[in-house]
Amino acid sequence: MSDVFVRNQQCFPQLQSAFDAIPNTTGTATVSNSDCCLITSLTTEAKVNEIERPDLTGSLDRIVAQGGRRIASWAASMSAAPNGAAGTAPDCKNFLQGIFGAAGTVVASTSVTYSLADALFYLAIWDFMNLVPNATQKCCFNSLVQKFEAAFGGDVPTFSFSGEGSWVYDNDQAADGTTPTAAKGGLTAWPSVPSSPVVNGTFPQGFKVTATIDSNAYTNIVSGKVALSVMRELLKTGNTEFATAGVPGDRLVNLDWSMADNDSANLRTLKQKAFTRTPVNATFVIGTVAGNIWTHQLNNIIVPKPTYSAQGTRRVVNFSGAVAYPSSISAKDQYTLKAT
Amino acid sequence: MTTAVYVFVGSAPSHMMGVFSMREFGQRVSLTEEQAKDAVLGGSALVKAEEFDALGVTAEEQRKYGPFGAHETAPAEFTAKRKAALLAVHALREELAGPEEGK
Repeated sequence: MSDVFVRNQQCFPQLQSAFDAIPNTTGTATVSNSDCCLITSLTTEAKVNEIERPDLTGSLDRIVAQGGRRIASWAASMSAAPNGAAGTAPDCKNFLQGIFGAAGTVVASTSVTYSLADALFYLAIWDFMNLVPNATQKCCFNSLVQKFEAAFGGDVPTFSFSGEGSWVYDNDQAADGTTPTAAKGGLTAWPSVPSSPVVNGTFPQGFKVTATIDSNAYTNIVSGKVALSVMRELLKTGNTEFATAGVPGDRLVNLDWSMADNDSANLRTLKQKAFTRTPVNATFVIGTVAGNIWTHQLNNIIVPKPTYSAQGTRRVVNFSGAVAYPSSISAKDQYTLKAT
Repeated sequence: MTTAVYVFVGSAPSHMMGVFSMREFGQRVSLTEEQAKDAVLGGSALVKAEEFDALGVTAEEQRKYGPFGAHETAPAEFTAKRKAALLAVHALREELAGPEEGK
């Protein structure tokens, strides 16, 4: 018997080519060394709702409930590491494609840019425990990415992704002959944990932030967070315990940032624009070394009213809850994320 | 098992667990065909040694600008060679991936 240590957890997010189809070749999963993405945390949880019998029993006790629809949720966090080679997508590329709704646009030797689009992508998120093959190994399939947060300003910039999936299939269920076919995602055998995963890059220092807000450069950013939520969801209305398809959902881009306060004319103008509700554009560049730089571009931001707090001896001005809007309905130009 | 030599041309570390850890530009590794495919499709910035050698990176450039931290301040001549190497990475990835795969 071997204990299972959280340090051994590994994440292999794969893009599915179709709903209900964990990537496979005639039932054998194709998850491989090239699919790995380092994580700081990963949860993949299967849930079956309990449906209580609502009738009165003539006693204070309940009758055994029956199982309801099967659903799943997942969440993954990681240091925000570009590839390290400009023009090559980061290891978290499938999560980014899932939330943005499109693959990154690659310019060889230069950049990878993620722009907003409306397509749905399903991920098979493998949640492996390395070195303990008989421990529970999981795969959350038909996973939709619903939320993305990019935080910067501290030592380690981070990405967090979360969403829902149809089901979490695992090697315990695979060894159980009563597992329904719909829970298997098209697999007929459980795969081994890839033995030599490939991982790339490292995070830029999260405090190396250069911001350009309303065309003025600032190097006094204390912290920031970009949040993209797309409330796509899985339909749970069919004549089955399992979800039957994904549907699109509303998109919202939020931005919070804090800056060391000062009396510059530019910052004063920015504060004034919060009160006049004059939209501004903002660019946050994290990192300085080619191949290791993230650029968040947000447009048409309605600047929130400033609030003030203390950070040590200095005063900090906070702009929390900003919303970035497209230049026109369906333009989808309110946010791009570029790795260069 | 046939192996070939590949050269790393990225600007940040790359690891294939149990096989290699790339810690500077110009580092060489001998890989089987299957390992090379996994590594390149997994995002590792590798080029075939003969392609790298054709770029003309000198031993002096390698010594001075091989470490990742030196890339930011490297002269234009070296940067141009590094970018040419990244184009070769892209081409190799496309070749190995086919139309649907690849990072």
